[in-house]
Amino acid sequence: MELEFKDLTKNFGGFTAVDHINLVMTNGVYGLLGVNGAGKTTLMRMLCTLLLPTSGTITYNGKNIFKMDGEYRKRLGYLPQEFGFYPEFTVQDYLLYIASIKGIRPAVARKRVKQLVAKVGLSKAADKKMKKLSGGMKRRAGVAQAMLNDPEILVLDEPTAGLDPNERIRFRNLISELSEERLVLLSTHIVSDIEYIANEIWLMKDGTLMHKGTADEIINSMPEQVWQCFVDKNMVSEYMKKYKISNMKAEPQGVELRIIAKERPSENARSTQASLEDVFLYYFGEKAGGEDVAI
Amino acid sequence: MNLKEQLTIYKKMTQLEPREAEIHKIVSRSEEIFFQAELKEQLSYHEFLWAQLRVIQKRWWLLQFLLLLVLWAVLAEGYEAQYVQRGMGIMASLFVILIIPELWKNRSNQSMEIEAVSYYSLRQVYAARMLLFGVTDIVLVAVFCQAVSVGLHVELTELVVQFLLPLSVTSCICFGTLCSKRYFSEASAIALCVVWSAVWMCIILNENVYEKVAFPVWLGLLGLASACLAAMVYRTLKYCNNYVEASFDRMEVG
Repeated sequence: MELEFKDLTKNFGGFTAVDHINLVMTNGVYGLLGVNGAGKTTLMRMLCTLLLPTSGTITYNGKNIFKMDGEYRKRLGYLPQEFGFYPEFTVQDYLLYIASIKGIRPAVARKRVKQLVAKVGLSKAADKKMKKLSGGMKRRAGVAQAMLNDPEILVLDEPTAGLDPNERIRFRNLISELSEERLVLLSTHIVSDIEYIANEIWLMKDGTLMHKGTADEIINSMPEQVWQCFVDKNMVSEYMKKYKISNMKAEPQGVELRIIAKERPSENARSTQASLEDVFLYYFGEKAGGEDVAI
Repeated sequence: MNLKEQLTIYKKMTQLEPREAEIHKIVSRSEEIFFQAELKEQLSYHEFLWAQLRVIQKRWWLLQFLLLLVLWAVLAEGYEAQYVQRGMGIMASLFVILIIPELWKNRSNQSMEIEAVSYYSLRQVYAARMLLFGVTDIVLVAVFCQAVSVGLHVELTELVVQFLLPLSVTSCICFGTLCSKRYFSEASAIALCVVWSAVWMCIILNENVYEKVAFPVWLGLLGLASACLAAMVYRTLKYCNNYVEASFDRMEVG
């Protein structure tokens, strides 16, 4: 199975949300990383045929997905950023309803729902109304609905948004488990969500792909080094003006800074291994520290 | 050896001992074959329609039925019949307003994105719901018209002008706002229907206007409203899958 983005562009009026993207995807987990407004959701919506590209196209095994209609959609599983559901339905009834619009026959649907409810850890809540579920449980129900048709292509848009750390780890493991023998595209602005599970990471900014590769390749692509040093509390603001600070930790003897710079920022600074978080900060700069962005 | 003994021996010889484990194996294998066969098949359209019927909350149909029952009872009372008959337009608008929550359900619950990427897309979901509401409402309205026409001797011309025309126009507003290029919430669709209802009352209670318009003109207006309704339904089905494009102003380019 091969999905190909060919010169994919999407304009909304005068604004270009996705700008001439060319990519080929096969089975595996792809992590789409970028700040809010980078074009991640627009790209995913085009992949799900919710939006038509302004120019360019997406092909599935050489066929235009926008002409394949149901033949393409039956291979697709999608969890949108804002996961909507019918609040009065029980988890089981909701999943059976989604199975019906996915064209799954009742005997298969009943079996799948039972299996998936167990897999996402909602067996005890199967008869609970959707509106009674916690945020994490709702997202798990969302993954279950996306998996009902055993999709070849699984698209998850910000699946961990609003989840607590425990739920996020659990979710990560679940996605890892579900990713065998399928293509998973996972968008996030939380670096740790994809650092360990994505086979390939794409950095997206202003509608274009800045970098793509494995976590190590992306880390190595950063032209600057990461330094750690202790500085006096009074000096912190000066360092912040001068350098990109990826982390700071207050200690009794001063403040420990993690600095991204080409050259050694101070005499006591020692070079250290860069992480994906550092790379994220390096490429996305000020925006990486926006209120919606969590590293 | 007599015949009885021979039969007993024969019975013993031909008696089969069922092996439970083998039976379970066959049942399990049959289930598996059935499951594999079902897996290859897609849900047929009539099964999909049935699934949609199960999802629709029946209380709206019950309320529509009760509304027509109340209208019938008021007409049967015959109190100031002329003005009561002219008030049927309000009930006609209310009758249509009662389907709005169900038609807007996937929109108000933000379920459209998931429905739009399914095998049976948003277009088919809307088509199924419109078909189900259409058939049920046509039956309810036909029975009501028959009951008031035959039972209460309300003239058919009055029914066309006072009930079917405002009903068609309200339906036009309802389907015109659903999936239109500009976003209309459930509440704004209801508000537009209520405004239309007030406008209609002003027209119908004005004797100068009402008396001057001949029946063929009313009939022509009903024909026009019906054609407009058909066009609105067609437009809804044509453009509903493009709702993300249409609602760009409200969405975040993530």
